[in-house]
Amino acid sequence: MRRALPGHARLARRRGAVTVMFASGLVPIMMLVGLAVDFDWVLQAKAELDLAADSAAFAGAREAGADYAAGKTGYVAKGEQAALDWWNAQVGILTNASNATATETISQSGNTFTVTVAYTANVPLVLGQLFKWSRAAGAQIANTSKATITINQFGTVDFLIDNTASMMLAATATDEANLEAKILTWLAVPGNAASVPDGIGTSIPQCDFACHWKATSSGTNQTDYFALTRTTSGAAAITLRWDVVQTATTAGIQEMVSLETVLNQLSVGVFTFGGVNMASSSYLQTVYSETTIDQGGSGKGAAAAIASLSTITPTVGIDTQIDTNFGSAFNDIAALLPDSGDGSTSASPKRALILVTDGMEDDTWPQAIPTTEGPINPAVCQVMKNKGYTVFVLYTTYASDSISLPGNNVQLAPYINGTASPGLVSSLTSCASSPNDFVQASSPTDIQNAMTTLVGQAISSATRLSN
Amino acid sequence: MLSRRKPAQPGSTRPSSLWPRKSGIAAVEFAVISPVMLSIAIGAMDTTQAIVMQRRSIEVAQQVGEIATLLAIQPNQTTSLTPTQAQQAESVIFAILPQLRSLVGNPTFAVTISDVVFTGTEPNYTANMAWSVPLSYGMDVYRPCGVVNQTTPTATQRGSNTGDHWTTVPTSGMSSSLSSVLVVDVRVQFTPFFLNLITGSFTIYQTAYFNQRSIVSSYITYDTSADPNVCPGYI
Repeated sequence: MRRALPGHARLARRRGAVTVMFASGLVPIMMLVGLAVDFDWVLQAKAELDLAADSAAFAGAREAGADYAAGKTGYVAKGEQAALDWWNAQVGILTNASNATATETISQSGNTFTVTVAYTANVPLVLGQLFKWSRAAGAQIANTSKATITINQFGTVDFLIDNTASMMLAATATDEANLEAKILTWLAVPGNAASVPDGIGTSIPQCDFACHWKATSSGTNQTDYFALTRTTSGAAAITLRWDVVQTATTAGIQEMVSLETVLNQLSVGVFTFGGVNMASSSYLQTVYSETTIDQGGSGKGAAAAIASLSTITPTVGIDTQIDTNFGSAFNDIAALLPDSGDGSTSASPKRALILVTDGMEDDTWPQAIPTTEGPINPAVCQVMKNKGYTVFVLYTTYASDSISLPGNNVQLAPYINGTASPGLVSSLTSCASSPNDFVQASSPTDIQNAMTTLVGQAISSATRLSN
Repeated sequence: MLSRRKPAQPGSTRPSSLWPRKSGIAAVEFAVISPVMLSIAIGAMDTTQAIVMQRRSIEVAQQVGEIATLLAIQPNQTTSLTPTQAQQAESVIFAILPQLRSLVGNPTFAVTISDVVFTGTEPNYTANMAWSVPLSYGMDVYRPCGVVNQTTPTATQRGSNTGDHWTTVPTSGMSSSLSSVLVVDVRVQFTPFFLNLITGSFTIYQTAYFNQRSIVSSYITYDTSADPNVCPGYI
């Protein structure tokens, strides 16, 4: 039988009971606290190492892609080295992981590079070190990060430029006013007024908006307003929308030269909507056949393409006026050009078509008011999309301030305010491969900027790093 | 008559004097132990808070870099950031550290995006600061213009000549003239809730390096005509 202790002895046992309990509980308490801190510690180290792996994969992909695009050899090894360097650079400022090692590998599929950075690291644990418990001295963590870059190395840009009469409007309000003054001066010359065709009358100077009238050798109408825009006598020289488009196309081709990263990487072709006389010409005219911009030497092909622009004949003239027929033009160019490739080799360039137009069609779709004119049927663009082309559209809008000029007659107003072209913007947007591939611009500066932007998109849209 | 006194049974005698002694012991013991326990508890809480803050600052650095490099790509593949885009990227800190969002208590923090541009060819190249744009509250953190120190490829120094600014750059793989480094610095001043009087406030800092997502441009330009954040020669 257990004998009860005397009272003072029991009291002696109770004294310090809390201390003993605390002392005995302190170890597990400390272990729990240590466990919580260690857990956070490991998570933090993992976050840091994930960052380093992402950064390394990022850098490796760009380095391999840049070297590949530049035509250098050993781009895979260089990319892997870059990934390793960036890993070291990022891990070097980390403090929470020891023995962090990473393996960088780059795989290539065509012109796509995928970088994989796999790391392992040992994170020291406070708990394990505190108790000298070797099995818990550190936590092993591992993860993998990937980055991909696609180099759109070889590309071809084909310009399809609207050269029909409606592109012959004055470029700015100032040009408009100057053209009007020129026409009035010309009409004041005895005999000239009588040659204005169609009985439109001479009280109001016609056609200073978009001069369709041009003298022909055989016709009786000798009015040549287009020629007036080309003369430098009298009022200031007139810049037409057509001139602006040529300048912008020149800038676009020069942009290709500046963005080319390897010789013979990019090619250019220039096409317009047919010849002077539609009766004997197709709806499509090749101005400059597809050639690399380095044909004959670095940048020489581009220079030749630019020079070819001046040979384009604007289709103006009362007798030989060319109808804009988007459907036929697209069918013709689709038949003429090969399908788009993936850009991985010079034999299979990634292709893009840049259409520069006011979007107005003289054909019968959709029988718009008051004539047969109307906006482009976006369905006609599909034939090029089916060939793998990215279709870009630069819509050159009519200058809205032209309508206020006194010389403009009422026939021209619907084209300026858009009533003659219902749904034109949406139709042209649908013609483009995506809404991002459609731009509208009116001023010379805007048109040029839009052109260089579209060219950049055309040749570089796939060259992005993602992970 | 003397009554016979019953012998005292252990534990049942003098209860009125024993209980006070007993409870006093417990109180004393508790008084001794509780500071230790409290210290452990609040120490663990503050430590955890600090570690969480540091982990989130890593997230901030990473996300700011990811977003800034994404925003920088232009349609023609060149790379540039507008002041607004830089601020947009830097304001990620408010999403990841929401306690900073209201600016209650005047928190001190800064997120800085900088671009380092390499000229020359490896190994004889120079790294220059092109621009450095901070989003800062209570601390003015930006990287100074001029040559950025760099040492050997294995160097891991963490700032020396400009406070705790980053000075080490990756020194290999930089032979391409198209190379640059986008640097994101995150600085957050952390004030422990309990141990503030002992430890005071201290700054948690994190740096992330990012390459740009384009092979066309040599570096990300900061798109503004005249900004004190843009270094001479890079405007």
